[in-house]
Amino acid sequence: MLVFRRNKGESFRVGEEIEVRILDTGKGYVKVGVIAPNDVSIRRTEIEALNREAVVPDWRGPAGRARLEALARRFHKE
Amino acid sequence: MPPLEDIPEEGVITFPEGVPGLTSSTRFVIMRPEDMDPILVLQNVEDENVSLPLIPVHAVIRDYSLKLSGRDREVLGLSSGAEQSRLLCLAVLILPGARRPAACNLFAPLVINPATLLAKQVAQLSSDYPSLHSLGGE
Repeated sequence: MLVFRRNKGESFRVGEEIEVRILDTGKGYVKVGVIAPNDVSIRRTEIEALNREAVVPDWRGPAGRARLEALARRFHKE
Repeated sequence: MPPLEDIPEEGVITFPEGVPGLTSSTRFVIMRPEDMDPILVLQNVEDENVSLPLIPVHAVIRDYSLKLSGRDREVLGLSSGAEQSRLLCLAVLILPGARRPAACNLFAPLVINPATLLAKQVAQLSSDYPSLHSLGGE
Protein backbone atom coordinates (compact mmCIF):
# COMPACT_ATOMS: atom_id res chain seq x y z
CA MET A 1 0.00 0.00 0.00
CA LEU A 2 1.24 3.45 -0.90
CA VAL A 3 1.11 5.75 2.13
CA PHE A 4 1.58 9.51 2.03
CA ARG A 5 0.37 12.63 3.79
CA ARG A 6 -2.01 15.27 2.43
CA ASN A 7 -3.21 18.48 4.04
CA LYS A 8 -6.75 19.79 3.97
CA GLY A 9 -7.55 21.24 0.54
CA GLU A 10 -4.82 19.26 -1.20
CA SER A 11 -5.51 16.54 -3.73
CA PHE A 12 -3.91 13.71 -5.62
CA ARG A 13 -4.55 11.94 -8.87
CA VAL A 14 -5.13 8.23 -9.57
CA GLY A 15 -4.24 7.60 -13.19
CA GLU A 16 -5.06 10.33 -15.68
CA GLU A 17 -8.73 10.90 -14.98
CA ILE A 18 -9.41 10.50 -11.26
CA GLU A 19 -8.67 13.18 -8.70
CA VAL A 20 -9.19 12.80 -4.97
CA ARG A 21 -9.31 15.92 -2.79
CA ILE A 22 -9.22 16.11 0.99
CA LEU A 23 -12.02 18.58 1.78
CA ASP A 24 -12.18 18.51 5.53
CA THR A 25 -11.08 16.58 8.56
CA GLY A 26 -12.82 16.05 11.87
CA LYS A 27 -12.59 13.91 14.92
CA GLY A 28 -11.96 10.44 13.54
CA TYR A 29 -13.01 11.12 9.95
CA VAL A 30 -11.94 12.82 6.74
CA LYS A 31 -14.24 14.24 4.10
CA VAL A 32 -13.06 13.51 0.57
CA GLY A 33 -14.19 14.67 -2.85
CA VAL A 34 -13.69 12.55 -5.94
CA ILE A 35 -13.65 13.84 -9.50
CA ALA A 36 -13.98 10.97 -11.94
CA PRO A 37 -15.51 10.17 -15.34
CA ASN A 38 -19.17 9.07 -15.27
CA ASP A 39 -18.36 5.48 -16.16
CA VAL A 40 -16.10 5.04 -13.12
CA SER A 41 -18.16 3.65 -10.26
CA ILE A 42 -17.13 4.79 -6.79
CA ARG A 43 -18.27 2.46 -4.05
CA ARG A 44 -18.01 2.50 -0.33
CA THR A 45 -16.20 -0.67 0.64
CA GLU A 46 -18.20 -1.05 3.86
CA ILE A 47 -21.25 -1.77 1.68
CA GLU A 48 -19.38 -4.67 0.13
CA ALA A 49 -18.40 -5.94 3.58
CA LEU A 50 -21.99 -5.63 4.84
CA ASN A 51 -23.34 -7.54 1.84
CA ARG A 52 -20.84 -10.34 2.45
CA GLU A 53 -21.76 -10.41 6.14
CA ALA A 54 -25.50 -10.54 5.31
CA VAL A 55 -25.25 -13.66 3.13
CA VAL A 56 -27.21 -16.58 4.62
CA PRO A 57 -26.02 -19.58 2.57
CA ASP A 58 -28.13 -22.07 4.56
CA TRP A 59 -31.43 -20.19 4.47
CA ARG A 60 -33.18 -23.31 3.13
CA GLY A 61 -31.84 -25.48 5.95
CA PRO A 62 -33.48 -25.79 9.37
CA ALA A 63 -31.02 -23.48 11.19
CA GLY A 64 -31.15 -20.74 8.55
CA ARG A 65 -34.93 -20.92 8.28
CA ALA A 66 -35.33 -20.68 12.05
CA ARG A 67 -33.20 -17.53 12.21
CA LEU A 68 -35.08 -15.81 9.39
CA GLU A 69 -38.51 -16.83 10.69
CA ALA A 70 -37.64 -15.53 14.16
CA LEU A 71 -36.64 -12.18 12.69
CA ALA A 72 -39.75 -12.07 10.47
CA ARG A 73 -42.01 -12.53 13.53
CA ARG A 74 -40.71 -9.23 14.95
CA PHE A 75 -42.29 -7.35 12.06
CA HIS A 76 -45.67 -8.94 12.78
CA LYS A 77 -45.74 -7.76 16.38
CA GLU A 78 -45.59 -4.11 15.43
CA MET B 1 -23.10 -25.75 -10.71
CA PRO B 2 -26.47 -26.47 -12.39
CA PRO B 3 -29.26 -23.91 -11.98
CA LEU B 4 -31.33 -24.43 -8.86
CA GLU B 5 -34.39 -26.50 -9.64
CA ASP B 6 -36.83 -24.58 -7.52
CA ILE B 7 -35.95 -21.16 -8.92
CA PRO B 8 -38.22 -20.38 -11.84
CA GLU B 9 -36.46 -19.19 -14.96
CA GLU B 10 -38.98 -16.41 -15.43
CA GLY B 11 -38.45 -13.39 -13.28
CA VAL B 12 -34.65 -13.53 -13.34
CA ILE B 13 -33.41 -10.17 -12.18
CA THR B 14 -30.20 -8.74 -13.60
CA PHE B 15 -27.84 -6.50 -11.65
CA PRO B 16 -25.77 -5.12 -14.56
CA GLU B 17 -23.16 -3.81 -12.10
CA GLY B 18 -23.36 -6.86 -9.84
CA VAL B 19 -24.07 -6.80 -6.12
CA PRO B 20 -21.01 -5.21 -4.48
CA GLY B 21 -18.86 -7.62 -2.51
CA LEU B 22 -20.63 -10.73 -3.76
CA THR B 23 -20.25 -12.89 -6.84
CA SER B 24 -19.45 -11.52 -10.28
CA SER B 25 -22.64 -13.25 -11.42
CA THR B 26 -25.37 -10.71 -12.17
CA ARG B 27 -28.45 -12.96 -12.27
CA PHE B 28 -30.73 -13.41 -9.27
CA VAL B 29 -34.29 -14.33 -8.37
CA ILE B 30 -36.43 -13.14 -5.48
CA MET B 31 -37.79 -15.89 -3.23
CA ARG B 32 -40.79 -15.23 -1.00
CA PRO B 33 -40.95 -18.05 1.56
CA GLU B 34 -44.45 -17.93 3.08
CA ASP B 35 -43.42 -18.28 6.72
CA MET B 36 -40.74 -15.58 6.40
CA ASP B 37 -43.06 -12.78 5.32
CA PRO B 38 -42.21 -9.84 5.08
CA ILE B 39 -38.62 -11.05 4.58
CA LEU B 40 -37.58 -11.96 1.04
CA VAL B 41 -34.46 -13.75 -0.14
CA LEU B 42 -32.36 -12.64 -3.09
CA GLN B 43 -30.94 -15.85 -4.52
CA ASN B 44 -28.15 -16.00 -7.07
CA VAL B 45 -29.06 -18.24 -9.99
CA GLU B 46 -25.60 -19.72 -10.52
CA ASP B 47 -24.41 -20.18 -6.94
CA GLU B 48 -26.86 -21.43 -4.32
CA ASN B 49 -24.58 -20.24 -1.52
CA VAL B 50 -25.04 -16.61 -2.53
CA SER B 51 -28.32 -15.52 -0.97
CA LEU B 52 -29.21 -12.30 0.83
CA PRO B 53 -32.22 -11.77 3.11
CA LEU B 54 -34.07 -8.55 2.32
CA ILE B 55 -36.80 -6.42 3.86
CA PRO B 56 -38.91 -3.83 2.02
CA VAL B 57 -37.61 -0.46 3.26
CA HIS B 58 -41.15 0.76 3.88
CA ALA B 59 -41.67 -2.03 6.41
CA VAL B 60 -38.87 -0.37 8.41
CA ILE B 61 -39.29 3.34 7.61
CA ARG B 62 -42.78 4.14 6.40
CA ASP B 63 -41.83 7.35 4.60
CA TYR B 64 -38.44 6.22 3.25
CA SER B 65 -37.46 8.52 0.42
CA LEU B 66 -35.43 7.00 -2.41
CA LYS B 67 -33.20 9.25 -4.48
CA LEU B 68 -31.90 8.13 -7.87
CA SER B 69 -29.29 9.75 -10.09
CA GLY B 70 -29.55 9.87 -13.86
CA ARG B 71 -27.00 7.05 -13.99
CA ASP B 72 -29.11 4.94 -11.57
CA ARG B 73 -32.22 5.44 -13.73
CA GLU B 74 -30.21 4.44 -16.79
CA VAL B 75 -28.99 1.18 -15.19
CA LEU B 76 -32.56 0.38 -14.06
CA GLY B 77 -33.92 1.03 -17.55
CA LEU B 78 -36.23 3.71 -16.19
CA SER B 79 -37.26 6.08 -18.96
CA SER B 80 -36.99 9.78 -18.23
CA GLY B 81 -40.67 10.37 -17.48
CA ALA B 82 -41.30 7.04 -15.74
CA GLU B 83 -42.61 7.00 -12.19
CA GLN B 84 -40.23 5.95 -9.44
CA SER B 85 -43.14 4.61 -7.37
CA ARG B 86 -43.25 1.36 -9.35
CA LEU B 87 -39.76 0.40 -8.19
CA LEU B 88 -39.13 -2.19 -5.49
CA CYS B 89 -36.86 -0.86 -2.77
CA LEU B 90 -35.40 -3.52 -0.50
CA ALA B 91 -32.90 -3.25 2.34
CA VAL B 92 -30.27 -5.92 2.96
CA LEU B 93 -30.90 -7.61 6.32
CA ILE B 94 -28.00 -8.46 8.58
CA LEU B 95 -29.04 -11.21 10.99
CA PRO B 96 -28.19 -10.81 14.67
CA GLY B 97 -24.66 -11.98 15.36
CA ALA B 98 -22.22 -12.21 18.21
CA ARG B 99 -21.31 -8.57 17.86
CA ARG B 100 -24.65 -6.84 17.28
CA PRO B 101 -28.42 -7.07 17.01
CA ALA B 102 -30.27 -7.56 13.73
CA ALA B 103 -29.93 -4.60 11.40
CA CYS B 104 -30.70 -3.53 7.89
CA ASN B 105 -28.84 -1.36 5.41
CA LEU B 106 -30.98 1.70 4.72
CA PHE B 107 -28.05 3.62 3.21
CA ALA B 108 -27.78 1.40 0.14
CA PRO B 109 -31.06 -0.37 -0.72
CA LEU B 110 -31.44 -2.76 -3.62
CA VAL B 111 -33.70 -1.15 -6.18
CA ILE B 112 -35.50 -3.36 -8.69
CA ASN B 113 -37.45 -2.18 -11.71
CA PRO B 114 -40.21 -4.83 -12.17
CA ALA B 115 -40.88 -3.57 -15.69
CA THR B 116 -37.35 -4.32 -16.95
CA LEU B 117 -36.15 -6.77 -14.23
CA LEU B 118 -33.04 -4.63 -13.92
CA ALA B 119 -31.66 -3.84 -10.49
CA LYS B 120 -28.93 -1.90 -8.71
CA GLN B 121 -27.75 -1.32 -5.17
CA VAL B 122 -28.12 2.44 -4.87
CA ALA B 123 -26.16 4.35 -2.21
CA GLN B 124 -28.20 7.26 -0.83
CA LEU B 125 -25.29 9.69 -0.71
CA SER B 126 -27.38 12.76 -0.02
CA SER B 127 -29.51 11.25 2.76
CA ASP B 128 -28.73 10.38 6.35
CA TYR B 129 -29.99 6.81 6.28
CA PRO B 130 -27.56 4.54 8.16
CA SER B 131 -25.88 1.51 6.62
CA LEU B 132 -26.57 -0.34 9.87
CA HIS B 133 -30.08 0.51 11.08
CA SER B 134 -30.62 -1.56 14.23
CA LEU B 135 -33.80 -3.59 14.39
CA GLY B 136 -33.35 -4.10 18.13
CA GLY B 137 -33.70 -7.41 19.92
CA GLU B 138 -30.86 -9.61 21.10
